[in-house]
Amino acid sequence: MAFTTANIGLALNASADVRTAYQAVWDGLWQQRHLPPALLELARLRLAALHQAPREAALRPALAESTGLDAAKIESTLSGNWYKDAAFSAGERAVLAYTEVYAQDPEAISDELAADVLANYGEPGLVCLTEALGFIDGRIRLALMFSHLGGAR
Amino acid sequence: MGHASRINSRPERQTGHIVRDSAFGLAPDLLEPVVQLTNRIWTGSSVNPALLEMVRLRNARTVNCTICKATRYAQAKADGLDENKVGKVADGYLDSDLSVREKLALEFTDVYLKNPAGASPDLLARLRTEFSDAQIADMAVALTTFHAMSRCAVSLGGLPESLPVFEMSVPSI
Repeated sequence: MAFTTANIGLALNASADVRTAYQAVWDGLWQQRHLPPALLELARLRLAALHQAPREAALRPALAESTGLDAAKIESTLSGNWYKDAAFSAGERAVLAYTEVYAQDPEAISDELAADVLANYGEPGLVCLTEALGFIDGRIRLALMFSHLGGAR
Repeated sequence: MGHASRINSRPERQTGHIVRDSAFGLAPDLLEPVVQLTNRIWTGSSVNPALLEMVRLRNARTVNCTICKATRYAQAKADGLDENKVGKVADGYLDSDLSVREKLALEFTDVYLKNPAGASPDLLARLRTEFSDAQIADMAVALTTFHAMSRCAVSLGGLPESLPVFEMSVPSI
């Protein structure tokens, strides 16, 4: 079975309590009030591309439908051309630049990258973004891993 | 050399909870379900605390989170984990005298950390000789949570270059 962030819970069904608590974090990520969901959706798409996870990249979750992202912006994010696309705001650029370095090596995040996020979203925004990236990245990793482990469960 | 902390504020209301009172507490909407999940991982897991701690420390070592590397949870120590065994979580663990079950847990951890798309049915078959599907699921959720939070700590800066080992209990809810 192929998993994405949308259905990875199916791979965790054998442990109902932990699965429920894990799902609550995912639901909370899209309902929190510190950052617009559209920003986190851009980060999810960029992480999917960096993980070379085509099913994840093709996913358009219902939770993100209200974010107002258009197809052109999604394509720029997936292709990595966001930095030269005038449709992206300063805040979106700050988040995507931070996301790309986070994905490769959190120790490599520069003070300037963090400062750009802080300037647009403040300290709660930077904390929320960094925590959210961890759970988005992690859910993509789990989806990839369980997709390749195979086996009925 | 680590980065200085990017976050200078702390939550106005201090609660006595080590995580809620930290920088993470500035984004409480997301932190609260994470606190609940972390507690569930340690108190409701079908995997024993010593093995969870080995997975956590293998992740900490790979991410290079100094505070995660220095932390020892009392629950794992009470379950029999000692520093001799912690030392075997290092690279080369496959050649150590760790048990097959412990080596499989660390191998599972490494696949997740280094190449999740490199997982294979062979790995699942070997995992199932030692773990139930519930234990594999519990271990996976624990690992992904340890990984997310350790990367968060590194990203936000302010970690010391090194720390002596210290023991603490898993934070309560």
